Amino acid sequence: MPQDSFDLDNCLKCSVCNTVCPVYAAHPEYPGPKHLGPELERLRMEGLDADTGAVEYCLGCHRCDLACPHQVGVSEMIARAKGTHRKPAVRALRDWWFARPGLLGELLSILPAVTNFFLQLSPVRLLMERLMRITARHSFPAYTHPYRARAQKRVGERVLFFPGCYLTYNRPDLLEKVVALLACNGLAAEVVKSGCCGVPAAANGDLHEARRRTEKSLAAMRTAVEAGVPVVAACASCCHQLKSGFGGVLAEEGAHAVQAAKLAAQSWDLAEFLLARANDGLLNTHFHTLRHRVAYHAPCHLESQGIGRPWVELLRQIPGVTVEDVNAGCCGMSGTYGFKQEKYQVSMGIGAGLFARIGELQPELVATECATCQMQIEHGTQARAVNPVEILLEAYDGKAF
Amino acid sequence: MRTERFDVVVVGSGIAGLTAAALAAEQGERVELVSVGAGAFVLGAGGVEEREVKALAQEPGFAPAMEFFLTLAEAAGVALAGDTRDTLLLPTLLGSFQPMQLAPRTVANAALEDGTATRIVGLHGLSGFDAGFLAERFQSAAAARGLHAKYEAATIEIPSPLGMPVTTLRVAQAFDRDAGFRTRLAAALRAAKGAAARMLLPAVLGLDSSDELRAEFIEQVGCIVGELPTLPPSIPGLRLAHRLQAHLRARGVTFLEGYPVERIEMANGMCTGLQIAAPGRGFRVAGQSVVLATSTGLRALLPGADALDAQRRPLDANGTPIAENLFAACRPGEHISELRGLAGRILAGHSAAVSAMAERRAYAAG
Repeated sequence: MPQDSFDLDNCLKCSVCNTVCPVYAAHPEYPGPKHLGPELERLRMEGLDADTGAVEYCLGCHRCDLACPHQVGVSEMIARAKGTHRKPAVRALRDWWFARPGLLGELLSILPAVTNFFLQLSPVRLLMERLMRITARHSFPAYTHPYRARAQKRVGERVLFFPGCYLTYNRPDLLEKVVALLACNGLAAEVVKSGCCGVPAAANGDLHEARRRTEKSLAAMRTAVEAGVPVVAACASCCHQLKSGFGGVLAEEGAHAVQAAKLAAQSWDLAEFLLARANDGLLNTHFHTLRHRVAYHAPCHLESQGIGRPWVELLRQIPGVTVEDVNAGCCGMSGTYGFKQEKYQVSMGIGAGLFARIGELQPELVATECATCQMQIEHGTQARAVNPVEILLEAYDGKAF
Repeated sequence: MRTERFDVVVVGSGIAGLTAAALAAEQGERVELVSVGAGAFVLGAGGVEEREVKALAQEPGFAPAMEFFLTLAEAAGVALAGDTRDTLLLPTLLGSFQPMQLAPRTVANAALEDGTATRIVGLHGLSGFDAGFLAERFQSAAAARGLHAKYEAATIEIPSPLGMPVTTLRVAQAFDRDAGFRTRLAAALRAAKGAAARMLLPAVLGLDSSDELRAEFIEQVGCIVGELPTLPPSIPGLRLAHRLQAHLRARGVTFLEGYPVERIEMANGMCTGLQIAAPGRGFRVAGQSVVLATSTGLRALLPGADALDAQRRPLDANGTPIAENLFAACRPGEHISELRGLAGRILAGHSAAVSAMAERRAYAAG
């Protein structure tokens, strides 16, 4: 939400934000969004250094913003405070890396087999926990040879696909599936090569890096955006970032802000985009009949886009697929948050409600479009979690995933 | 542009909007509820004042609206106690008694009763609830009414560390989440009971707890337990909201929370869609019927609106409905806060939804 001087005065201290904050419910010492946002903001405006390590515990889930009856941009205030708060050296170094999943991906995927081998050795993990405060309890996603665009003649309407770090470095196969999915709908996808969207940088308090990522993204897509080409993202956080004008990073910067607003107006969540085409009769509905009992988990950054549950609607169109909307709140992973040693317990505490609900539902599959939600759900439950793209593509090509 | 289509779209998740959505959902409609934040009722006790009922009793549709809401609240596990004849004198945080007609069961348990000995129990570390001050004030306020009610104070330790500062929200969340916490809290209360027939606590008995769960807890304590609503966040108001929302979700109502309606689209005398100010391009929903139950003045969304007709359809300056399928809880120029309390909003939301449903049936009948 944009920063303006009235924002703060709109806070009536009703505490509704605290009642929806996942961290407040799971962490007994967390002061909550009302205090870390509007209350401390008054001191920050006076130039007083009022922030403690508590700001680092904000997930950036935006639930406080959505629940506020007066539309105060609570999480934006906390995100800015994260940027100025000084952390101890070990956490600062770790978070420097966590702010750069693109750089990490480039390095770790040079020799992916070696990376994966070392990252699952318990002595290595214990050492990482000791030296870098990265919990040994949460497994890492496997790395592979990253996606490299091949020169390929594609036919159809042009769209840009913003892949995000996870698909690029961990799941290039899934990235290809998205391209195939779009091709099934007569769309020629061009994969954007801008690197990370900047959400992890902002989440880790590295506003300088967030700005750099924003500028790279804008530059990479400028020509296509000027030409009116739609931009599609499959990752909820990347998509939230594109739609929100990069989370206010560029709020008051003339040309950049104008460019970001143009991009925002042309950005789509993948399922939202396909449904919009369905409105115009352009969705390919030659579906195979499948047999899946799916529980759908909505990532926080999908909720914050304010577009409902497009994947639920889309998957329900596939014959033989039943979809239950789990609707049990945040999973607690929040990108890199659940990997942090000091936050691991809070992260799992936040996810407890979701895990319990999934346990009750006993679905065949959990579908969610957020990669780290998937990791957390598989870590916290016995369920198999997949990206809904896999289910939709199976409906098109009949090949089990 | 993507448009999501529903049978009924309700704007506003205050008590008027929730009532309207419940009525439509009960009749098998596919309902979307669009809102910015919770309604103001979450800040209160979730009850109906005596003066509201007095002022509204003769209004057309009042009795069925209240009956509908009471059935709804009971089904959602947050039943209201009391009836439309007897008045409950409910204690307030300032030490006075407020005449209420209806209140959530555990709040109604705190009503002033002649001859009852009540122990006010504070929680150690919880600020904004002074048991000693309240006992003294209630004692004298009761005496001023010529009643013999005995009030005394006690304070208990919260049975598990909940972090600092202690808030009613933290205690309520622990109450919801942890059966062991409930057992320990009940034991601590039992130990503090003394000779009292009843105990009165700050309202902390869960944000999501059902009537059944709270009744079990009270059974464990072994005497009547009443809740006294505190400063915001007020747990009984939030509980009413949470349980009504969960009840609606279970009946297929979907919620779109966080972004306001910025434009209402009209074509050929019908409301064809609502443009919602979501990030980027925004979002559009369409309902065959639309009920506006928002605290934003109606004129902000419908600049030409002048009045409502008997069906609660906004009329233009010529007295023509702006749209056949558009209904409103508030009159143009009226703010929802001017409606009389919870009861006024229930009546407004219910009436608008009744008209919307009648219009849906007429439309279906061709």
